[in-house]
Amino acid sequence: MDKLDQVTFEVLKNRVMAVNNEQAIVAARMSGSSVCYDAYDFNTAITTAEGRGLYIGLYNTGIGHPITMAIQSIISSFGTDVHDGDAFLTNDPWYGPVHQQDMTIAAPVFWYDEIVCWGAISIHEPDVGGPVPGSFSVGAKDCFGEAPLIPPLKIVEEGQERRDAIYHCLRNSRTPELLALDIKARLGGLNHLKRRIRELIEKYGKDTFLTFQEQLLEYVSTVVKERLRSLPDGVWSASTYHDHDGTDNILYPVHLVLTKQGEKLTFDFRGSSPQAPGIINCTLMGLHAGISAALFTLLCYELPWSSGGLNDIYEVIVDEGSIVNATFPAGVSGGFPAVIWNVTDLTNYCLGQMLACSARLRDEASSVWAPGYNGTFLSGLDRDQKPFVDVVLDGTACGDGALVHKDGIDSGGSFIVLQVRLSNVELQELNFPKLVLWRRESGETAGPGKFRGGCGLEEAFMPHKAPIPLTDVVCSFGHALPLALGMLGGYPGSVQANVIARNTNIKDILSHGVLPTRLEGITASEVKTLPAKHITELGFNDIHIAVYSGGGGYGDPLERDPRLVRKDLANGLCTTKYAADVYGVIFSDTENFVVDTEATFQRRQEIRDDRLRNATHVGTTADNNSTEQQIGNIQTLTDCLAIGNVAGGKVICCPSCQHIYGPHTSDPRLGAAFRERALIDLSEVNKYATSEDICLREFFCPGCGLLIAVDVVRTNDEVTGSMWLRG
Amino acid sequence: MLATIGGSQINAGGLSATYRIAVDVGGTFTDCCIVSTEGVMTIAKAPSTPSDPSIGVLNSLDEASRQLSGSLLDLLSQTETIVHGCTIVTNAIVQRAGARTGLIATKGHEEAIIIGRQNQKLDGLSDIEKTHVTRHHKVDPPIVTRELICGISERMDVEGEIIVPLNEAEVEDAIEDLVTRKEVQAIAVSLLWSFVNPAHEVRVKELIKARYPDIEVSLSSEVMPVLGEHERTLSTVFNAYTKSLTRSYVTTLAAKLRQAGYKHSLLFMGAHGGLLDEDEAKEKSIFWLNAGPIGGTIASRELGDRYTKENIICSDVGGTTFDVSLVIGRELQRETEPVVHQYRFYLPSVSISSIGAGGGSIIWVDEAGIMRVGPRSAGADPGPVCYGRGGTSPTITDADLLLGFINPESFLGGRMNLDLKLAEASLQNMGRQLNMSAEEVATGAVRIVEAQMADLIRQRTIEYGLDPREFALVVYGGSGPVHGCNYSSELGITELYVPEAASVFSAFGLLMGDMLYTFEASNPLRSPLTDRDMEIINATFKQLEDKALHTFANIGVKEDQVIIIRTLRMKYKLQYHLVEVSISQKEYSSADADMIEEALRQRYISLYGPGTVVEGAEFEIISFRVDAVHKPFHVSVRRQEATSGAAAPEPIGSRSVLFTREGRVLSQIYAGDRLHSGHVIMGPAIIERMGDTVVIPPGFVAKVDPYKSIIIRAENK
Repeated sequence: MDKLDQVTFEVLKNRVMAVNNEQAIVAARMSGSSVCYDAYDFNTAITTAEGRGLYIGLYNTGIGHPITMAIQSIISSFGTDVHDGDAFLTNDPWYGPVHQQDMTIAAPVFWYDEIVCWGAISIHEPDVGGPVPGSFSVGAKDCFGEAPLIPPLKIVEEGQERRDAIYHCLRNSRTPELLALDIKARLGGLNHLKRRIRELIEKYGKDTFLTFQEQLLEYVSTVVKERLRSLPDGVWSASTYHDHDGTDNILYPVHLVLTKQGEKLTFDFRGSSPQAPGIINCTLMGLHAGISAALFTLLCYELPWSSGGLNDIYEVIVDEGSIVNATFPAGVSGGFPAVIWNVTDLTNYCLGQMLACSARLRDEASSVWAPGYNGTFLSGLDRDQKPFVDVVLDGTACGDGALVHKDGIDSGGSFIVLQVRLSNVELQELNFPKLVLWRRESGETAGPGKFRGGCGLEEAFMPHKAPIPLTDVVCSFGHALPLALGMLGGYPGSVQANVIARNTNIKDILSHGVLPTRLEGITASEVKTLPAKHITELGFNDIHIAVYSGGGGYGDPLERDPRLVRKDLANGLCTTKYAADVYGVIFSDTENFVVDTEATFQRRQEIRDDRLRNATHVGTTADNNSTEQQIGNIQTLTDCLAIGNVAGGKVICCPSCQHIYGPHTSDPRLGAAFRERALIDLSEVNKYATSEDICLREFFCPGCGLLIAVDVVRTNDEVTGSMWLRG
Repeated sequence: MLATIGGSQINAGGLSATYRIAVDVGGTFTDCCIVSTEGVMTIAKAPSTPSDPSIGVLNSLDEASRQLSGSLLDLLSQTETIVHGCTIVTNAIVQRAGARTGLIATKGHEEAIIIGRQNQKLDGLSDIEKTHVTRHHKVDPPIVTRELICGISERMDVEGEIIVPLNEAEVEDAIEDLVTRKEVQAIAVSLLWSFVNPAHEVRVKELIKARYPDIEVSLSSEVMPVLGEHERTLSTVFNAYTKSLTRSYVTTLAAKLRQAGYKHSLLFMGAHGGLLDEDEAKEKSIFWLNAGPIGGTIASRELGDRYTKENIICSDVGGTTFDVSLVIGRELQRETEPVVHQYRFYLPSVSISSIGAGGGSIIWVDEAGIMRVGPRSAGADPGPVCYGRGGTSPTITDADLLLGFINPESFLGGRMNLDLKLAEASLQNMGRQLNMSAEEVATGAVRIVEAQMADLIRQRTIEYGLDPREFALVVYGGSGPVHGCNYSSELGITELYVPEAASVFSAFGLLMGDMLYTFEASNPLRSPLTDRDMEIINATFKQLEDKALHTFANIGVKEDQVIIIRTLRMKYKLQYHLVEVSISQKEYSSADADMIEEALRQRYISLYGPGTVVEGAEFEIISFRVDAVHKPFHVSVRRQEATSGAAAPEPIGSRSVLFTREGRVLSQIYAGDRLHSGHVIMGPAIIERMGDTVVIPPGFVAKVDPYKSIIIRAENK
């Protein structure tokens, strides 16, 4: 069939996208889980008959691509044993879903006896079994200590529910009634999808619908390739650590080298840690989920998120048995908020630097966003003495990464969960026996920069009218070290934290008509910072304080417009001390927030001088570069780097003082100076950091002190490069 | 009743009839539509007067009474009902022109509306826009800044039990800080769980009023007593922000009308698509939000009935805004959490999208030297340059005039002359900055604004997967018929309907509105339903119905004129989303328990498909709703059979018109009041009607239908 005309293609492109969204809305409305109905921690997908991804929904981006992989697994598991009216369930990370909690149900859509597409819905379930309430099986060494794996299972056969199969899925859950309802919710969403797709085929014809699918994949692929071609070729690399494996606070290195050539990306994860004896590993499918979350978000703007359209734009190189390509029976219940998130962060970091070096697409570059889920799972008995599991999703309300032209969004939500939203305090207190004492934005969580990262939240909650103390499981990361890396001289966001104050006098305080909004002033027998992953009890007079991290900054904070610092000060997101220490901005009148321009100028010069005084030169190349060399035709690459010509060829240099870092294809860090600083110098929140050998490594121009990069490293880590432009 | 336009239809008795009047206050014009008991319609327009909109209302009524050859006193003393619609609350919020408003919230939770549930950045965006994360941002500037939010110590829990008693000393400090130091004029109070136990909110109000009786106070437990502090607080803040506006406006308007001879109470169109009485309208200013254009949607639905069109795109080009709403399967589209300027709040309402694009939209040049149009409007004062009231920024109306779409001498039926020279000079002036001729500026601006209009329709239809070609497009508003053909053809729509009274269509629709009062009570019951539960069901509905009937009785509507619709809002156990189940029976006994369960089951299956009910699942009734509807009267338009004479009317002249696509073409001019059913007019042509101008570009054909609506089709497209 010929290509569809423009209007028909546009209508179908949007209509099928809308249908995918409708199946999500229907499922959410039928669901019994506030995680799905209210907070939108779920997603949907539509694929071609062969399982190539056409659309993922705009809810939790991270679990979108895994849904299409689950459909592919179901197709290869069941072959021709797929009939009209069938539905299949899986929660097995080696078959698609990123962890056992993301139970996924898929169904084929038939037109007469032909499959014309597949639909699927994945909802993060409050509990699917295993030793730990919430099924993030903290403490497990491998998947035998986690919730049961369910490889593709036919749960509806030609319209008839297989009660034995469904009962099998419900049997291990602490909340089977909820899970039963949520299975119905997915089937309801899929019914709706089938009805709408059939209506569409009745109107436009089957051939038009099938042609449309191919045209859509081609369209997405064409646009993304065109975007890639306009980006510079080169190599970008980054390293980070995943902290805590569920038992021990061990740091597991994850390493990415991204090569970009023309319209092709190669992700090389070799050198990452071997798989860990804990719940944090990801399968090869999980690795793809992590990469695609960043590709969709940064390169597929204003396009349908079709994984099928990205197939030939990237390839992955990875060692089998590593933490990012774990083999059975590795522990995987950490899901996205485990190593997969580090994968997304590193992809974001490398793509961000690449975009920032592009004249055309630099506005699309983003610093790394906060480690987007400080997960807490409260469980016990509710006010009606019934078992409950409260998946506290508030930890996704963290700060967004800074862009090259503006600050990251405060409490804007995390990178991979596009449309997940914070539940109202009232809804949480209606459902679960708890009281939320405070919830506010916390300024020092944000990564400073010319444009700062968005800040995250701090909140505190305690049991309320609970018949028994609550079990409090935390499964988080980014507690030992900041993970939201800054971009091109921007600083990282803070660490996140969970703190328990035990046996407090809170009830006394409340009954006297005082509502505290911080820990200071509350008496406690013990105040303990929890490890990233931990199981504990939350007693009747205990308070859990959670800090959700902020996003990474962009550019040297000394370049920040003092008016923006003033605005933060007025909004209570920064103190005068912080303004002076980090931004070099001095206020002459702190009552009315008047900036002292002269003092600010001096203070900023002092900070730059201080950097230069304590500097170590990175490489030998620094010695060869003299600022006396005449540079011609200087073209700004980013705010802190420029390309110019010297007698010997093109060089990369400082746009401010024209210090030459080296040949333009070399890593500018090799011609930079650096110094190391303690985490606590950056943010008061970093006092909660659960590792002691982490520091910030600032790279700056040896000529003028302008920052070009800030790494988060262990003190003994070697200095590494991160960017080599080509051509 | 039959209605036709024009003084010639008036009975010999002049003002002997009784009248019903609708007034619609827009950004630029105040429209008035009067229908007599004999079914004769009279329309009038007067410039809006934003500083005191009641002046424009009285002027439009005055103008109408002149057309009826009577005095304003005669008209108003013989008027039974005045229905009013306006955009003043929407404008106040969009332009940040409401009262300086402070917020008192539970300490520790002050930032709920700043945090914005973390996805404020996405609210109001289309799906495609949501995918572009680097373009997202929060509301800026917020309607209440952080410094105007005060936290106080107090706390209720889920059961309404007091966990922390109200700390009155902190309340006094907060009031002092907001009123004295920060000079707020209004205070919104939104405390956690106040919809369960409003005691603390009520006390805060007492404390404010005791000290500052003139400060407007809105309590969340009164404005919108629903669960969810974020949405409830925003509804309350919007209410506080605009209440002084509506209060003083309703008071002033009612006094002026009564002084002028009107004896009854006023009715106001609310966002929910029903009419409100004066007291309700004063207190709940939030119900005015987005209510302005609803009349047009209702009128479009009625228009669609004539052509058996159930799916309609309603497009309204006013002076200030372009509004789009949809009718699908004869139903107005509703939402409970509308978004205004990125703020998602709670308000059961008819869904309407607006952008700042209309006849008054200002043409300007941005920093990069690029021509832009809107969203700022010249409004009513000074209005477009050609009005000659001191405006110097050229507008779309000025461009329309220069291009020859509008006749400077027949604007508003010849009652207002437009100054072509002034318009041309201002466009020329702008052209110098752009290195363009005045005509090039005018053509460019019109193309830009028409593209914006097409984009909004596209957003409401194509981006939701709806094919605009499957809808009937109704075009109205003062400038709609000028631009309709062009924005419709951008969307591939080949047929559009221009109603007879297009320039006052929204006002006309107000007369077709139902009075609707909705009362809701939350009274959770869980299955199995007992005899006692059945008594509760009966008693709860009875109480709500009594309230509704009482409200109607207050405005003289008798019980037998009211239709009561009972709805149970239900769910299966563990669910959150409520399903609305209509219940027709008036009294229930224990034998009906199965019937209620079955009604839920059937409703559920119709929504979600067979096999989606968990067998044996318990269900819950969460709340009871009574919609009480009263249709004040019905207006229909007399059908006129096709004349046997000429298929084409005689043109009254011709002039050269510069079309944006085809260039300058000599076009026939027709007089609207000489058109008859069956007349066919080929483009290029212009039809000059009372209140508007219908532009038929080359390639379009217009046909006059028996209701004097003009149906325009694109030929060979």
